Amino acid sequence: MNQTAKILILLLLSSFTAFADQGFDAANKLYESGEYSEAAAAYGTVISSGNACAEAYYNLGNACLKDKKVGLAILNYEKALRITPRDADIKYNLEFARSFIKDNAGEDAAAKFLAGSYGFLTLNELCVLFSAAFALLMGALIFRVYRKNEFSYWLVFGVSLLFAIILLFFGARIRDNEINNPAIVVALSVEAKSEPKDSNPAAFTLPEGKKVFLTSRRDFDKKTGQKYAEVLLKGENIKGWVTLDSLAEIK
Amino acid sequence: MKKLILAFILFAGAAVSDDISVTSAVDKNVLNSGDRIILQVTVSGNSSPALKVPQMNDFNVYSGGQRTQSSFSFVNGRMSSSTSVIYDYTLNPKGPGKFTIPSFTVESGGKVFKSAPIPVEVVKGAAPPPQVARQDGAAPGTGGNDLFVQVNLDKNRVYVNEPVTMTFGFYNRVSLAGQPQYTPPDTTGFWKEDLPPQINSSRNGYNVVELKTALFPASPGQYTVGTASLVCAVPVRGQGDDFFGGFFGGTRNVRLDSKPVLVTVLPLPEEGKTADFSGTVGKFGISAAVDKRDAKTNDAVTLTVSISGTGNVKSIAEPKLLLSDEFKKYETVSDLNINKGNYEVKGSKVFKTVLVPKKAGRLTIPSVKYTYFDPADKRYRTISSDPIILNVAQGPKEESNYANLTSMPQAEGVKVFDSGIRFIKPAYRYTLGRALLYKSPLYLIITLLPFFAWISVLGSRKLKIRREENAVCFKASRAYSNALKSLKPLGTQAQKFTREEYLGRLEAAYAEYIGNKINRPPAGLSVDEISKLLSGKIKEPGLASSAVGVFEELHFQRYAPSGSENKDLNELLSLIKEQINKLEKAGL
Repeated sequence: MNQTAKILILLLLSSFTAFADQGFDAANKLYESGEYSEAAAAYGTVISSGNACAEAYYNLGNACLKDKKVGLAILNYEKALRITPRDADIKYNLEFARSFIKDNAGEDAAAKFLAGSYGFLTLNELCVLFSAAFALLMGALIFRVYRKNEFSYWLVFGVSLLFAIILLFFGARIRDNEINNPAIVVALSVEAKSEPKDSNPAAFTLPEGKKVFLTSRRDFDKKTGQKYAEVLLKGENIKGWVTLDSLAEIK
Repeated sequence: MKKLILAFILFAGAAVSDDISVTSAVDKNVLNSGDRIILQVTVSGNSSPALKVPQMNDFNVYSGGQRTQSSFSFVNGRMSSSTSVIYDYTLNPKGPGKFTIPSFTVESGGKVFKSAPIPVEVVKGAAPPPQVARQDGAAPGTGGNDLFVQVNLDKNRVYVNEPVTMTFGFYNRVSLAGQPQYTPPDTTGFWKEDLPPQINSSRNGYNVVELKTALFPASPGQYTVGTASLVCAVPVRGQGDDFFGGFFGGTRNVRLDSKPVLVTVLPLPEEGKTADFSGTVGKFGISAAVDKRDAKTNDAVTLTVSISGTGNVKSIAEPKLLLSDEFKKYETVSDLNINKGNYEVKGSKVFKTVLVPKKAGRLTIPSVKYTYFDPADKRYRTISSDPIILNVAQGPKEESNYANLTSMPQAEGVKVFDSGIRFIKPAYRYTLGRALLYKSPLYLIITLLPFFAWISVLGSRKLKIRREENAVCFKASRAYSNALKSLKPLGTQAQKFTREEYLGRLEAAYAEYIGNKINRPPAGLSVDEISKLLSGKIKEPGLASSAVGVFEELHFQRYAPSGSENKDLNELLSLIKEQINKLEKAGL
């Protein structure tokens, strides 16, 4: 409960204040002096010590990219973008990092726009928006209790419509968040197999930095103990088993 | 000598003419006896006929030989050439007095050309020096002490095409009559490049004149730089000495010969020789440039490759351009610049090629390589220019072609040289991070608060309406419980009240009950009214009258004089309770 109250206060403050602490500054200095792998480690410490801000993920992504780890860079840009989905720098660098992988599942402009507007708000912003819309609807209904006229009728009608749209959107995002488990391929070149067995031949290969969706299925090779996870490629609509350590989850 | 040259320059202008002209000039018109006059006769024109020398009895005449000069002149864009033959004479006057140097004549095509006679005055001065003929035992000009020539090479073992500097040196320590005539040595097998100007210096008492020539051997083998010769007129101060001088006597033409020099020309080593070696020897550098780095497709870009250095610049071949299909290449034109400063053959050869990029993007002109042989290090060197990157934008389609090569100046937009990632962020903002609001119970409660507000508003509203609509019913429903509530203290705390008060409260409670039930205010209820209304509401016989009877009994007890029939108060209380219960059961 206490945690939630803190979150709510921070949500109100978030857009106005900028902070910097020692760990963050030290990591930035390492980056500026060109020691990218050290900087990446320092950003990692900043994040694991509880300051999981978008800027730290973004800077970590930059350090990874400069260190020629495209997969990790994309992973951290994706994480940063989940927190601040409208940040142009993150989008630009993510696009830049993606340009290194030869992804044949290209997006057209319309799909890009849809995906962009779908992810325009963070889930938390959507939560606040939903609450506000709900409060508005209740307010309209209360108004109608006292003034039962044509104006209040249309007011309630309009606000209900707005609320319904937001509810649908919110529901879809929550469902998405609950069901989908996106992950990034962080190993150099990964072979996906049709069964979770080391001896199976590769069914398809995945480039480093490719976004996949983990299905809930996990298994391991009975002989070697190698852990496998089943992944779904949405663009290509194929499934395969890859070793668990070649993936990193975005969530 | 200097004056002679001056005189020649003065009269050289007259030599340019369509016809033949004869001019004569002297270095001075007035002289001491014992001094001498240097006379120069110039015959110039398209042909060079023989000069007729007049009789000059007043002078001893020494011939200084003759030399030929060709001159080209451009006047109003027209070139004319003429040949001048210059005859040099030294005249020694025989005595003082006024004399005239008579006209020299030339006959050509039936015409006679004459020079103007020159008056000369010889004044009596110092006694002329005794004229001694051939005093010096060794004849000058035989390579002895007074005059000699030398040919030196700066090296004798050279590679093919390696420059050799040949120096012809003329050493003299006597004055000469007239200009010496130089015949250069035979340099067959070499390509020759003169290195002007001549060097005049004095060394060990000699006047030294040096002429330098660069020689480039063409093929390997043994070669000889032949004899260079110089013919010069040496005045001989002896009368009638015509051993060398022929008719004029008094001067001798001395021919000085140099010794031939052997040169060994080595073939270029096979070791390290590359296939693209073009035979250039020396020391060179290469550079490449384009006239613009930002171009459009089908736009002409001029690539300039410049190879410069020391060596036989003329032999530099066109370097190969290894261009991809992305370019269309047009013919290469070359430009040669030779600089002979510091007595070395230096210079550059500039190759200009027009390239037309065929597709847009970042196109690379690869580095241009050139191989030459460095004789100093005795090995082959390959020099290469830096590759050039062109940013080619998509231009208009093929309609403009080769003819439209001159590129117009264009407004320049943003030039992107490096599209790297964006820089890190200096500070961060507190964000929710990855905590999800919708999962927190507080959020759900806060979100649902307006809903509860609505529900309660709705409920209270409904309740109010119902109260307004059924106020009577409500009162009646509440009458029994209210009556019990107001009767309760009378039962438990009877001793607190006086008899008067007790009876008053008892009556008020009963009256309120009846009033609520029949929707009348309890104050001012008359007994008649009550019995009328109750009998209309209660079906049970006798109940209405007994209820009214209770009222009457209460009235009696309150207002009757004290002491008469005082009923026990508890009895009255239970009577009223019983009556209320009866009325309630009867459905009032």
